[in-house]
Amino acid sequence: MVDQAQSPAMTVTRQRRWSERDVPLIIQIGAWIGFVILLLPVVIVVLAGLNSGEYLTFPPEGLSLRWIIDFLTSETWMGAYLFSLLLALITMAVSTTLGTMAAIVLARHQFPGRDLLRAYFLSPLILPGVVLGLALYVFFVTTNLGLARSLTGLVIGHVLVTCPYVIGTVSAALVAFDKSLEEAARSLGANPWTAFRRVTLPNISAGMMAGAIFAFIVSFGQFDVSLFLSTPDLTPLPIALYISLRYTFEPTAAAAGIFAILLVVVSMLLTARLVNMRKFGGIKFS
Amino acid sequence: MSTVEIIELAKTYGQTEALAPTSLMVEEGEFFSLLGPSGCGKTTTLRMIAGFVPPSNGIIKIGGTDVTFLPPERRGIGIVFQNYAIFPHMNVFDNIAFGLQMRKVEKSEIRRRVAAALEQVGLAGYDARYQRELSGGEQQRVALARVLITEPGILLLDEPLSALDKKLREEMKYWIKELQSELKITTLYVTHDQGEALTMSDRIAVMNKGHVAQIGEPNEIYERPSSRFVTEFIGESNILEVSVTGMADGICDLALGDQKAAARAASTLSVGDSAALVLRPEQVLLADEAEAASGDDLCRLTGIVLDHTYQGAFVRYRLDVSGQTLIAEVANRVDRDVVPDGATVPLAWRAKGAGLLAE
Repeated sequence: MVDQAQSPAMTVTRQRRWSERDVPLIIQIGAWIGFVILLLPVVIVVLAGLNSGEYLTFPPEGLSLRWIIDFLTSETWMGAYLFSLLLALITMAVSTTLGTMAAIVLARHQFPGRDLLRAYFLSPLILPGVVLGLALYVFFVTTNLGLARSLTGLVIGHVLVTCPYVIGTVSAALVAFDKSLEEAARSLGANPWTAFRRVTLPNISAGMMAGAIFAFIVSFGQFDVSLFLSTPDLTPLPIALYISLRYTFEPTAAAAGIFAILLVVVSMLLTARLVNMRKFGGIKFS
Repeated sequence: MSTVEIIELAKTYGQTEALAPTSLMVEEGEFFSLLGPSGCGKTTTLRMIAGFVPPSNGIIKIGGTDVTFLPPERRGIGIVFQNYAIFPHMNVFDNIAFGLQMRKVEKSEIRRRVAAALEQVGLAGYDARYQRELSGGEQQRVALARVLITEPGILLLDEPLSALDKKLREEMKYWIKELQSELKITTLYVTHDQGEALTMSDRIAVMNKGHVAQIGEPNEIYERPSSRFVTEFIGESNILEVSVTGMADGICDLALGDQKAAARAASTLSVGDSAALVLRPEQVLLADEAEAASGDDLCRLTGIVLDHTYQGAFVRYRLDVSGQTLIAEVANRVDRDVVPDGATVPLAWRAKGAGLLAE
């Protein structure tokens, strides 16, 4: 019995050692450098936000929560933060819906110009945000459709930028989706809509969820497009940060950064948790 | 239960002809197989009947009703896919209940019928399992239960055994056939495996390059292949060059090199024609067995053993008969000695057991 219990454990350690040895040292070093470069700004922002001094400096002069409290009690900052949150949520909902539909049409239908349309849908990813923002600004102002200086206009801009992410993740999910599942549903008596809702949708939901979280995060951190479309009433957090840093050099901006990072991390964790829960759910009932 | 009829059904993709205009009729309760190599049009035919592929031409009738333009959900079909297509996000119960839910059957009724269906396929107690917790054979049973619970008029099976390992495949072959004859459900079975088709079918359509090469009962297809393609595709066959020297009482006298042979007459041939003699290896009698046999339709020849291989249940000889190679398979018995290589042996076959194809 003891032997039996030990031997699998030994195999596991042996396997682990092997897999580590498989990654060349140079790649490991590269990975660590990349990791540090990615994480360093986050650490700096967090420390700067906890600064007890008057100015945005690094290293901080001492630790305190005064700028955090300042952020939480400031109408401008909290307003911008909540507005960004609202904007990101609306953008996420619209992008996920439109992006999923676009991905389905692109994946399922053969029609002339499909590849062109796909490239067109994905172009906001390649186009510089400044160009896109400028184009939208000019379009909104000159067409006089009431989109200039409106929340709708801002949402349109954000959807344009975030939709490609949803199209990408949902397309990948659709490629992995076995179409015979949908055909099986049809043959069992489901009409096209029911088959889609009951069978296709649940099976591409992970891709949709990934796309939604991308859309949320990209929208929340979106700067260039917002720069052209925001107004004093409609100021998302990144624009508020920019304005604040241009005129003052308060650590409140860094405190706002802490909350921005927190929101993104929490939303990521939540999604990961939700996706896992679904998987657990399946196993739990067995 | 219904009949299936296709009339001049055809499908072209651009320049490629997946199915040439084809007509056939599957009778009520019949187990009908479409058999052929990949790309022969058998799956396209099945998918057109199911309603997943729009035909380029022709009419599909199920139970006498024209369904050519009906969507799949209104054709009264049940289909089992090659990969079973068990919904991965639903457990076994919900998978099987799906068809009844679509038909708005009452919940208590669904529970009762799902339980009965699971019982029928030998999976009682599997309700809460998910697809990833099922073996290939179990998935297959779930797929069948899911389809049969809706009481479809016809059952379409698309290579349902090809994903299983060999032993399970054998087992499922008989199980499916048994279930089918018990339910007397009209079944259209698509396969590239001649063994499956021969064992399970009432009738088989052998297909090649978008055309039906031959339709017939399994023994007809095996014993009387009508073309070179069918001959070579189904089982193993000797194909020897011969010329027709005489014809009488449904039997053709032939010249095989410098020896005389005989086979069933073919109506398209006349004296003097050259033809291909089709002879299954197990029809060849060798040595003592050839000498002991008697009858008017027996033709006797001699051959030289080139080599032989031991195959367990039988010994397989390669023989030279007047310059052509003939394969003979002789059942292995304790009292039968292996004929040594190089020996000249008498051999024989019955004319009824050999066919002729026009060259």
